[in-house]
Amino acid sequence: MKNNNKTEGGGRKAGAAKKGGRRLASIGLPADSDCRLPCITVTGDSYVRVEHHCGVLRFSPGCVRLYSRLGIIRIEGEGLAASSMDGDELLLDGRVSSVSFE
Amino acid sequence: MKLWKCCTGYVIIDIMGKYPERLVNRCIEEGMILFDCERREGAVRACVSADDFKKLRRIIRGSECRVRLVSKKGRIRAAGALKRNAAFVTALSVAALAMILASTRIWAVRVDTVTVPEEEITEALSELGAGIGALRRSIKTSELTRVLNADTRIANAKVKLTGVVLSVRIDGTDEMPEAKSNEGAANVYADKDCVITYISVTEGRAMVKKGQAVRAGDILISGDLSDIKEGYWVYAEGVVYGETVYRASFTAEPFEERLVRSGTFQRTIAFSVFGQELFKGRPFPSQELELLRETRLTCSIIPIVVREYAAWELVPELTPDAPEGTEERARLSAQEKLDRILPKDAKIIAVSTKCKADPDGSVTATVTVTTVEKIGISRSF
Repeated sequence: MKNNNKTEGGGRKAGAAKKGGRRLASIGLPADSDCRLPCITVTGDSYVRVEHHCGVLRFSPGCVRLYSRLGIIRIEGEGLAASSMDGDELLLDGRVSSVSFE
Repeated sequence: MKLWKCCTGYVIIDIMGKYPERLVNRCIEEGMILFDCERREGAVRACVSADDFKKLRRIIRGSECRVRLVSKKGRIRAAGALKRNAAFVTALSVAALAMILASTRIWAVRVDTVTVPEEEITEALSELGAGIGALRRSIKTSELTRVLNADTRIANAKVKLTGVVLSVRIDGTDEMPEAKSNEGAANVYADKDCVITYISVTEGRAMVKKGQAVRAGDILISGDLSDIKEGYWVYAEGVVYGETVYRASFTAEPFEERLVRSGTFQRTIAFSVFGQELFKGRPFPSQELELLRETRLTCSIIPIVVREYAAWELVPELTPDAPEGTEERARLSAQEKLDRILPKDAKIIAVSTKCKADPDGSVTATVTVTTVEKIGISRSF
């Protein structure tokens, strides 16, 4: 599994979010205390929990692309299906091969 | 989670159109929860709760998507099926009501008897208001048992109400035995005074009933059936249990005999080898030893210790005892006395002790034990 965090082309919002994350880090607070930043939890290669996403851009069994404040989150794998989806959280089932930011 | 979804009810939908993801996002923005979402050919299949499904109609407007209802699951499906079949629901309700009403009454009467005709018992039960169709709550099994036991032909009747079935079992009225010769015929006698608690006749006729007091030697089960048909004698057999009371008393004097020093003593020597003491002699039959001197022999290889004792003579003397001590002695002695006469196979069901103080200071303890034991003994007549 690869986890690429691309910084190019993040846009104004993405830049602000990144700066916010750095400021938190500079005062010794964990970055996930900023509720605007997406929080991605991968359990094994079967479950992915994405918190603080901003909507679904593309949904298919091989690739799921989600909007977030840091840009587009790309989750690749096989047989991906959302077992639960609400305004703030998305739970993905299936065989996950990579999670990356575009 | 799945179970909860089934209970609350949900629908499976297909979102078709140009950008189904957009509709998904709009649904999420409206606060809907979508689950089990997967991509199918040209559509996104998802599950939504029944309440959220109602919101969909409004959300779809303006979007370039269509929503197709695939199936309904859980509660709403069952509710829908029931709505369409009003007649079925009515019939189900009527059947349930009928079952509830029917369960309040007796449906069957089972009589387990041999000698007394079954019809006679059933008729007697009907007269007592316990026939088929009688209300269950009006049945008092204890009352029925009492009335049936009043019949001289019945030794022990048991009435039990299980659900809608009334079961009656008649004991002690075995079928007519085969004619036998007088030789070998026997009765079952009581071997002690007691109150009958259980009687079950294998052969012969019960002469006593549960709760009846009998004396030792009374006939419990008779083997003489010649009144039914001349020449019928059997070897009466059966199991009879009775409640027997045993009582024992003991009076303890307010003085207790204790051994005290008389004032006479003699010197005696003992050799101790490896902890074992060997005395040279025993001056008095009852004595108390007081160590005077101890000498260890150092010249010997074996460790020998020589001890010199003063042996004080002890004589019995009556000493006054406290009332509590006198009572305790009286109680223990009465209990010991009772243990000697109690049969080993008896089942003790109650024990009581009474103590009475006499004016002279002596205490009389009475221990009463109630037992349940087999009391029948077969003997030729």
